[in-house]
Amino acid sequence: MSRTPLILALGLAGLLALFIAVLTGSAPITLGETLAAVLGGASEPVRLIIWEIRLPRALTAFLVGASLGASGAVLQGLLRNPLADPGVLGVSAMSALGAVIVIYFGFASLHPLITPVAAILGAVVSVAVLYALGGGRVGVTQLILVGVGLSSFAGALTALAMNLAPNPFSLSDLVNWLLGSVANRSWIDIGFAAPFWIVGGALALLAAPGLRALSLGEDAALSLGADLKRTRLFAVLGAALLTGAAVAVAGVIGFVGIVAPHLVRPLVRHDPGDLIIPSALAAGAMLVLADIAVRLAPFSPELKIGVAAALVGAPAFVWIAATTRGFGR
Amino acid sequence: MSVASLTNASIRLGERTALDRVSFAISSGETIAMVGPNGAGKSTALRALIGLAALDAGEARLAGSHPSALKPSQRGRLASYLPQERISAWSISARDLVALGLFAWGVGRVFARLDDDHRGAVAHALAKADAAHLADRPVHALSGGEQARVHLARALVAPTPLLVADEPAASLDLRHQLETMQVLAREAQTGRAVLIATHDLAAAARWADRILVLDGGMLIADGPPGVALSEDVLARVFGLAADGRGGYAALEPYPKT
Repeated sequence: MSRTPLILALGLAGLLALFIAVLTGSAPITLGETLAAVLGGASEPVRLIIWEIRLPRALTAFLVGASLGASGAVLQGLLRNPLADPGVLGVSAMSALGAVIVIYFGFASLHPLITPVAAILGAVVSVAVLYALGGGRVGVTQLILVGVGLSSFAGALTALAMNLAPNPFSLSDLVNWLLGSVANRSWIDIGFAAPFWIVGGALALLAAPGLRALSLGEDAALSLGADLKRTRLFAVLGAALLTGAAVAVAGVIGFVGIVAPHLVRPLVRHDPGDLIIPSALAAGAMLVLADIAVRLAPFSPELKIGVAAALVGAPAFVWIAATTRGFGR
Repeated sequence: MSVASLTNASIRLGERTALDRVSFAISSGETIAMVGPNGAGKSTALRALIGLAALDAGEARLAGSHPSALKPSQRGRLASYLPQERISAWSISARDLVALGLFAWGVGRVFARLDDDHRGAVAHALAKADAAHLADRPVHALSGGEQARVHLARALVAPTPLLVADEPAASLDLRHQLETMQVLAREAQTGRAVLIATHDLAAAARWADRILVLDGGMLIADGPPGVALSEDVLARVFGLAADGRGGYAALEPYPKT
């Protein structure tokens, strides 16, 4: 499929998923009322439910998914590895660590931007470590193992930070960070993450040409005229901004960043640069659908969206790992 | 006209001197073969010439400039390079892989698409490398030799003044080995400067205007095939002797055990 129609189709799928999400909920609101509310009509309580509860939550799911999808696509291109993903590589876990430290040690209340910035710093550190250790020169296996180690380490430090923190916390807070949730998110949450998403997305797209050239290895890419220093910087910062802001809003949600690029890759002729936007759109739609499933599932308390993502994503990850050609190069 | 040159170029890799005061220049229209045993410094010399390896001493020139001072896109327009390690991380189609050779001509831009001129150049390069029939195939579905031909086409596609190939014939069947040297030497007839690192002395002697012999990082000989591959050089560097029929024989065969 050529690029523009693919992006349009995935964009429509995302809008459709968002609309279904807005239709779904415990309050009995009809299709007609929902449409009216979206267009600014309907009664005050209905408008409130749609605009202040359902839409921000659905949009948060979409934007978090899209960030993770784009971040996964960029990391895969940079590390030349179809198993790279912010969750698998520990980038999300390091982001969560950054956020948890500032929240539970009381810094976050100083300014609302401190949490996303700390989460992004955690992400930058982890991507830099991965790149320094792996960076396309080591095999897939080694890179994934480094990521697994980083992920476990960050998870342990997150638990430790909460234990040492002067501020009170509950076990459910820890679970929220480590398993991810988009419940009760507001326009304010979206507003604080948005600038980072926009800049991260732009950097990711600027890295795209270099990622394309990197398909042929670093030497060939340099000889072709790719500016690899710039590509690395943009890809690392872009992936870190996207992931960090997503984690600051929703905690750690795994596997979206690996499944979405894998599904759309054949549709963009395996081009690592063209992969970014379709991956973002597909991942956004997927996470909105996952959130609908979470809300409809008859569990109390509500299932975490990160759990739903992992229930579907982890087996998919295993399947991709088992069927990837040239594994361990 | 000299397209690229090394002057007293030295590179140290840890304790080892990979390149030891090497000087040579390559001009447009010229085909040079670089030969030497494993570890002689051939790949390092090629990479130094196009600015991929930094010199510890001496000087590299590419179209009159220091390669390290050039912007990446300028360098991409001056030299095409076929590395020894021919990798494609993603299973893109052979056509898309070859099109990457035109990266510095805008194919790499964020939302770029191939225009008709680019398409023509890609088809032409694929045909030169006898890979036209592979154009639509995903590269990971190709055999090692077929992939090597697609990568060769990628190196041929751009109209750069300098074309550098590191063991282009490796992993090819005999017919395509012969054709590869011929195809590369023909590029020189269109006015490009062509530099090929190879282990195939016979092919080097047949197709190259000049041969550079490297051993232990040093340039041992530089001249037309008959001069550079003298009896002395053959014996000293390679442990070989010409067999008088265009081939070579080992001077001291490995002892039979």
